[in-house]
Amino acid sequence: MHSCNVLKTQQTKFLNNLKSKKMKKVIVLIAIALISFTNYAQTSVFDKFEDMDDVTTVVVTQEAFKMLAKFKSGGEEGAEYFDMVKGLSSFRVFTTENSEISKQMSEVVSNYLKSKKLIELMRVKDKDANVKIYVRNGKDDDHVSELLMYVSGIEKYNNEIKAESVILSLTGDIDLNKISKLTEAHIPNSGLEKKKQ
Amino acid sequence: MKKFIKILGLVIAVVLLTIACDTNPSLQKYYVDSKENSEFISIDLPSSILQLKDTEVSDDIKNTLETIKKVNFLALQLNETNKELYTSEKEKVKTILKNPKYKQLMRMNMGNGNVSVNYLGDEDAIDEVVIFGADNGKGFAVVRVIGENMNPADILKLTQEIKMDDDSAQLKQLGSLLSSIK
Repeated sequence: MHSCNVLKTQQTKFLNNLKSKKMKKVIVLIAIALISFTNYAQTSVFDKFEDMDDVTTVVVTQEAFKMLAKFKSGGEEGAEYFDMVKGLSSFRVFTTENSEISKQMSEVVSNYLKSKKLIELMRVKDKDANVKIYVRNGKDDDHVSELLMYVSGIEKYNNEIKAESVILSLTGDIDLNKISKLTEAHIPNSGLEKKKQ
Repeated sequence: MKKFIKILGLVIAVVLLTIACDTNPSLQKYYVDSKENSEFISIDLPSSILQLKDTEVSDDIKNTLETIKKVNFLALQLNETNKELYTSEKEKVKTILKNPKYKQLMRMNMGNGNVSVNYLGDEDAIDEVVIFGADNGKGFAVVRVIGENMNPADILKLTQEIKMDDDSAQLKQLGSLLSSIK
């Protein structure tokens, strides 16, 4: 929301500078077209990888999360899961072993990070793999609207897993506190705390 | 003025006609059409193959079981001669499933094969679940679970209470078919 306001003020400034009224009209039209386009459906910049032959994709849609949230059972931890799942709007994983596509993925990710102003949450690098996790700010400090994980070069890590690149994108209303609670329950000391800016 | 009424009448007639003839191809129609094609394998499983383990269960569970009507299974096995049919039919199913009334739950794409799970209806009152899987080396299959206002949470509870009717001829048919594919 915040970035949206910034965009708007920039846009109005830009418009005030324009002398020609016709130009204004054209720009407003384009802006409307773009806004409706971005709101349309749940597409992602990574979707183009889905049609590639060497990419393995898993996509879970909002409908599935809505349905999952209806299964209310499984004790306290179950309830935590459902609370978290309720707010999610999409889950996508793209994996490839193809080095050419890997390169493209890296480009798309870096462009995406710039254009959407994602913040780095954590980065793990060892000699074989490079894991980066980014988040996009949500409604407040504890919430993020997107969690993006990008892994490159795990091919040498294990002979059985040859994937060179993995993109994992989770969008929706994500409560970081809940995620850290849940991960803590399964993997102690993995507390995923949001980096304070 | 008369002419105007005539034109108006014509316009209304055309509009009604277009509304009446839903141009969107439905999966049901596709299913019925493909059943006649000998290249396809189709099996209908009535819900009677699902039986309750215990006859003395609550009415809720009985009612849930009644919301499931039947399961349709349609498959096209790939062989040397029907490669083109496979490609065109696969596209047909994909186009049908692109209709927004089929809400997609998830999809997986593994390079040479893909699976998608879709449903018709509302999230707590599902009328049809469609599972579509394709493998470019084997063929494709469409499984439809047809019911009326199926509630996923209730069905989850139901799964603990039911058993398959092992004597069902249709189930044996499906079993032998699946083992022949592998």
